[in-house]
Amino acid sequence: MSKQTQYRRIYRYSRLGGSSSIWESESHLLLVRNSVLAETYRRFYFRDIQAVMIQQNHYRLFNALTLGFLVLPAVALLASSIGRGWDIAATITISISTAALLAPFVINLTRGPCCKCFLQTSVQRELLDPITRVRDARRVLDQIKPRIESIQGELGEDQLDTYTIDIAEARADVPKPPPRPLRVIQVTFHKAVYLLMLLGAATSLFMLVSPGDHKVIAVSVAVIIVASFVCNIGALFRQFRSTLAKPLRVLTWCALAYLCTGVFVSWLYSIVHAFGSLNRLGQGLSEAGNTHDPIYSTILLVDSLLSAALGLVGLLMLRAHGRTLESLRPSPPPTHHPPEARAQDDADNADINGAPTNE
Amino acid sequence: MTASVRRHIDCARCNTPLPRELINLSDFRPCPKCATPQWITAFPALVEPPAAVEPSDASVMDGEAGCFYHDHKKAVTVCESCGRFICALCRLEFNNRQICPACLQSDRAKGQLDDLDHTRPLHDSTALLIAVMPLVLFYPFALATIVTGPLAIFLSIRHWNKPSSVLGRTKARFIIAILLGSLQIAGWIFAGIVGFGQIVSVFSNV
Repeated sequence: MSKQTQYRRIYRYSRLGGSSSIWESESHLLLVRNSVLAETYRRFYFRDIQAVMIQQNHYRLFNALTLGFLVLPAVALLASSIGRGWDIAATITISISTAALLAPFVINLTRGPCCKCFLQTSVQRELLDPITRVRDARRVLDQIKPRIESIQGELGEDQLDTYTIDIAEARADVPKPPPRPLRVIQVTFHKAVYLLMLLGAATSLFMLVSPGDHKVIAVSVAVIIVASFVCNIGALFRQFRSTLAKPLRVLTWCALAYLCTGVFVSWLYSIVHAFGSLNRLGQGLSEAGNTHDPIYSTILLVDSLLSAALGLVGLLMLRAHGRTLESLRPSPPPTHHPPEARAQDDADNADINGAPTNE
Repeated sequence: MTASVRRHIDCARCNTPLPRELINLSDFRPCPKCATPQWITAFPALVEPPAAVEPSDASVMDGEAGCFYHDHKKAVTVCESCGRFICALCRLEFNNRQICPACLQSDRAKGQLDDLDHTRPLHDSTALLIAVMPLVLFYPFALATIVTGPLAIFLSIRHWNKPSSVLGRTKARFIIAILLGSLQIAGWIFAGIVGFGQIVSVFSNV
């Protein structure tokens, strides 16, 4: 006879393409992961739960920066539209877009710090993925703690004192895994990244000294940026767990950060410049990218200098790395023949060439 | 197969065993190794010794009942489902009942043990999704309703009696899927009649 277990929802978190929720019954907690077409379940019996761990992390800051990346231009645009006599429809559209971007930004800040919440039993440690905020984790803990304690009782200080013995055993028992061997890699991707940096510096310099509408250069810049991203990501994959020197690895990350910053700055400049020119339509948008603009000239100058510096330093470091690898490579074994063997070889060669022998 | 049994708490980030001083405090404290702020609430199951395992190899003596599955072993209880005598090895405690492995397996095959399922397909959501998506995506995907309408009805009828979520769901999704599917079929029939009427009128004019 089937008896349907009764559950009460404790917490629920929805996202695009599914949801996760935590439910409680008389005997256990149920973690439900819903992917629209199916549900998966994990059960944790109250009598088995050893600990609940809440681990604070920096995701709120990360989220704020990511959302801020989107919000900042929108707010700048909205601010620049005030008092310029724009069309009311345009102002309303911009306001709604800004509000749509601003809402998650503000919600992220007001929901408090982020965390990961784990539930430990004697055989597993499971991430309670619906819980992502400290405030929610505390609320869930306040709900389940009395249920667990009603079954297991409270953990006294004298009981906790036995824990120290266990921890010493745990430290002694757990063998340290051997370090994974490092790979010797080809630095083709790295070389491509730094060469593209130099090429980027050259194009920026050309655009700086020769103002005008160069369509070929504009396309080249786009190709260089895309190729740089691809090569940089390839280089980062290659250098993972490799023998590549640490400064070189850091420089590759710096190159990626520089590329991202460059794209962001260009994007920001384009948006602000384009929308700033809306009130003088007909002449504004075509002027985006005019090197007579001091800000644009400064961006180009800084870009060419930094790209050149990164590219040169990277190539020099790659050269030094190549030399180091050459010096570490074992030399081939010498082809040394003892004198007797060499004499025998000479005699054999003489026979083959048809020279007269003593016989 | 042996499963390692935890008697301590590790940092979830660096896997360092955490000292007793970090447990059951009122706020976050940093991990001694990775400095990640942790707040650990422990319960007695952490420090309690593992339950003693009852020996299952007690041999059956004269006048004693033997296990149904192991003749030579002494029966310790009766399966609450089938009434067979079972030994300590065969005794499974599940949902406050003591049953034998065969009953557990047959109950599970019949879908009578919700508490053992770890995944369930949601046929009602699938049927509803199939019925709704072409309408939401508009033209040209709305043309797919010629297939999705009947399919939504078919899925709803076929899986009507199958167990859905363990959380308990109504048949509302199935009903909505059938209604939408019926509307889509009705729409196509209407379009067909109108189209056929127009063709007939064109030919009659000719």
